[in-house]
Amino acid sequence: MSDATTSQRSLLHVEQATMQFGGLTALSSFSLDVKKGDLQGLIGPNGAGKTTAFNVMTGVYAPTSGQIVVDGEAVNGRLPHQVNRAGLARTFQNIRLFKELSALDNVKVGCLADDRPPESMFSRRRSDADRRQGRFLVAHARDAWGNYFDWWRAFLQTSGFGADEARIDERARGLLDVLGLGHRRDELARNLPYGEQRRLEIARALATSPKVLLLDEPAAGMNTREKAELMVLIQKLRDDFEIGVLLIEHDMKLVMGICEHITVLDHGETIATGTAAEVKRNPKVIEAYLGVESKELQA
Amino acid sequence: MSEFIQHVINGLASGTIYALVALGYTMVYGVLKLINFAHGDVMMVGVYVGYASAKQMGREFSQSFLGVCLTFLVAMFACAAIGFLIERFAYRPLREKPKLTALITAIGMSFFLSYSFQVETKVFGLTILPGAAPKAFPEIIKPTEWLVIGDRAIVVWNWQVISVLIAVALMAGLQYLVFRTRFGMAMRAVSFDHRTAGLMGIPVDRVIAGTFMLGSALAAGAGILYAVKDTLVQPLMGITIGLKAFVAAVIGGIGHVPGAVVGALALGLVEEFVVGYGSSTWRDAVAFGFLIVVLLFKPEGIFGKVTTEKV
Amino acid sequence: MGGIIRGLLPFGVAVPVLLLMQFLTADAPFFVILSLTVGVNVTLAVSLNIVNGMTGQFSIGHAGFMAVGAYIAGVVSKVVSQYGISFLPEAVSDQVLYGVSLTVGGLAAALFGFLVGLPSLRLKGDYLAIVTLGFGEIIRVFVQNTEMFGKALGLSGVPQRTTFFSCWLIVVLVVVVARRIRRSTHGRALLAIREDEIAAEAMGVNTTAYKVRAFVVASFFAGLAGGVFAHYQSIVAPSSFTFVKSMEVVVMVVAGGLGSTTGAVIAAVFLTLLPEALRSLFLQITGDGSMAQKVEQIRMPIYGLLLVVMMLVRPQGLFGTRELWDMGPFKRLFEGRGGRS
Repeated sequence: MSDATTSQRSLLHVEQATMQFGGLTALSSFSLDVKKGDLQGLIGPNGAGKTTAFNVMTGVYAPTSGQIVVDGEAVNGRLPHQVNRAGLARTFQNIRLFKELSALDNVKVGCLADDRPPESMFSRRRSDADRRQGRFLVAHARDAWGNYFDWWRAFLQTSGFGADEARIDERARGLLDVLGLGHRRDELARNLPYGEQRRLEIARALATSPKVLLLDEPAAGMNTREKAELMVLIQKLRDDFEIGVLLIEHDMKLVMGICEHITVLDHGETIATGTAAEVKRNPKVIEAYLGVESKELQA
Repeated sequence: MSEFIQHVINGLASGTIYALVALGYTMVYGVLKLINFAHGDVMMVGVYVGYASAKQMGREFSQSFLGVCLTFLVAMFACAAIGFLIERFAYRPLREKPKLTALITAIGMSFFLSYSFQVETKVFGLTILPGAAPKAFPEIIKPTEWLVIGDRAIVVWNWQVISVLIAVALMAGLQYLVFRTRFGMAMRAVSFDHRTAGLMGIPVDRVIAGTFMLGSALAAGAGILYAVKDTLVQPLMGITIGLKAFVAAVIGGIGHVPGAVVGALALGLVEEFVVGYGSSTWRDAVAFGFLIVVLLFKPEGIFGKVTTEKV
Repeated sequence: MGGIIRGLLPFGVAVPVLLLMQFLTADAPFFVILSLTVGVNVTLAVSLNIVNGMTGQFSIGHAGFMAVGAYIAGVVSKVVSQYGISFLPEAVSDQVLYGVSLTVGGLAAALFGFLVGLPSLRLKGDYLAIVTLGFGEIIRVFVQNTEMFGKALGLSGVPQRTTFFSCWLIVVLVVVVARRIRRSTHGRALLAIREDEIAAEAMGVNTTAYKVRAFVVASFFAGLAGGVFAHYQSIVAPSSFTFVKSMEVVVMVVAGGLGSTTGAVIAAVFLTLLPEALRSLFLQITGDGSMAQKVEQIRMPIYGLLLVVMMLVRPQGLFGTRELWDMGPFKRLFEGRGGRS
């Protein structure tokens, strides 16, 4: 539960998460804490378990042991869409956009999590509150009724429905603009250039109103200039949306440049955590990256 | 009690036939992650090929040991060839496309095969497509009672014994192939990850083609055994048997070779008991009912592992 | 409230148009029967498109849900037709009770859709195909063995209540529903599930729930189609709801373009009229029924071959995922009715 005495409560708290696939331990005793305003990095050689960590945190895999807590709510064992509603959003290493949908529609799908005005009787806020207080049956009933009711509203084209759609439209357009994609609104996602696709994924993730944003190699495949712009953008998003950010990256310069706290994984184990300076000097980290130009680490 | 044992014997005998077909499904699913809906219909074609060759051989020769072997071999060869062609021209081009596309093709192929055989077609007096009317499969194995216990309380027929022996021999051969030969190892590698297997130098296309041919040949054997048992053959038999065999493969855990056998035996037994103690009109619904029960409680099948998709 | 009024506009236009057509075709029973057959198939295709096209699932047992609707509506109708609503003229009372039977049939089909969909949609896509196929078969075996449903000979004596108007009103209904769902949050969620289920799930879409809901809606309309069918055939026999029927609908949806309601409509119309046209053409040419019979027989393998060839050559079908109302000149015409995307 939230710590009432400290100024910052933990938005994402992972406690000793372990992930085993048969005989293979992909992630071992992984722990992490992200607070509002944090910009943290998760690095490690290929196959170290970084994406597995993301998958465990977001509910794609249920951890073999350990706890995942999002803003005070334990989410381990929950389905990914439930974890998303609890407050975690992510992007994917190999871009997973909805290719045949337009950029605007891609973001609108994200707005789904927020498609009912919070005051309405069937709003997610109310059912989430129900769930938090253990009234699961009520929450379920609220959701189910709200959902079927929603389909009726869509069919009858009620003015409430129209207002909802307008609200989603406005929000989605706003997000596209923030990510610099306003001019691509009606373009099919598969037609976008690579860098814009990555930004679209971020816009879509932000549409779900997350508390913590998990970015899986957001800069992969970008050139230097694009990466620099992305660094600035991520920091701005972190500030404007008042969220915590955790990113996986291979580009050391980017990571060392903007991450205040870094966790280093190797073969599923955490071999170092700390500030950029501390991690750079850590002999275990240097050894794990042996074969990589050491001046990359000192950049 | 003796009735019970009789049912067990019957169930196991028909179960082994389903097993041969189920193996084809499960192997193809293992390497291609595709449910080959047309599998049962390829079997059906093999049965008709066997029918034609047995008829050509004439009564005497077709009942001899050599004749029977020949009938089997011709049918198996024909099915292997058809399986190869289908994979090569209908499935291979779609390998990188979304799964749904290949599924639609498979269903279309199944439909095409089974229903074209429903249309009786004669070319220059030769019947190349048999038509919908059920035909009696030539009696290549004269049914005789092999073992009689008590006052005909339990009867084991010769064709049942032969059927089980042939099925077991084929399965043993398959087992040897999969686990003791390089081809088998290649098959297993491709079923784990066909991209990596390709990078390792395994000729993925050839392995997949070979798997198809193998599965189809086994199904042909099963089909002939089924024709011996049931006597009547008709073009839609492929769909019925194919579906039941698929259900068996799913019950055992799709992709899991021994599981397919276990599932098939289980299905054979359950079906026999439902028909024996219940009513025969519910026969075809048994397989699906069994399937739904399994899917509700253990969808990955008896031996299947819960596979998590790589994100 | 204003939104609902505007939302009912398509029906406001459709009702008088259909009534007019009903009046005009009163003396052409052949045309009417043909149009009813087309109407039923269009309803089946458009509803299946919601599941197979928009949501990207693979259901091949639509005939099973049609059967549920047909049998239930038929039985209810037979029972209820002995009574009548006293204060209404007989014709109107008949139609009202007919509507009630249809609705009950549709709801029964929807219920089965829920029962079948819920366990199977949690699993990988391939399984739904087998389960829906099996469902169709189980329904058939069930009615073949049940006295109440007339066993193998079927249910006879279902009052003939279907009219051109009611049948095509249902068609308009299903098309409107399909369009409105698609252009809403829910449609986007369904399309997202089709495009990338894992990503959709990660973005807060309860994929299982959405898939089930789409399935339930589709089954409801299949049930309605079955009820309409029952009320002009008068006999409801298991042989009308075989796997072949399910496949016919699948071919229509695939040929029209998975995801396109317009495509489904056009393909359904075309693929219903073409065999009929060929059949009567051959009947005229050869006099006896032999050629016509051959047409009926080769229809099936041709459908199979069509699917195979299409997947190789043009997997997106006729329309792909495009809709008539999204294309140029039609846009303004349809925009006025349905509101913005």
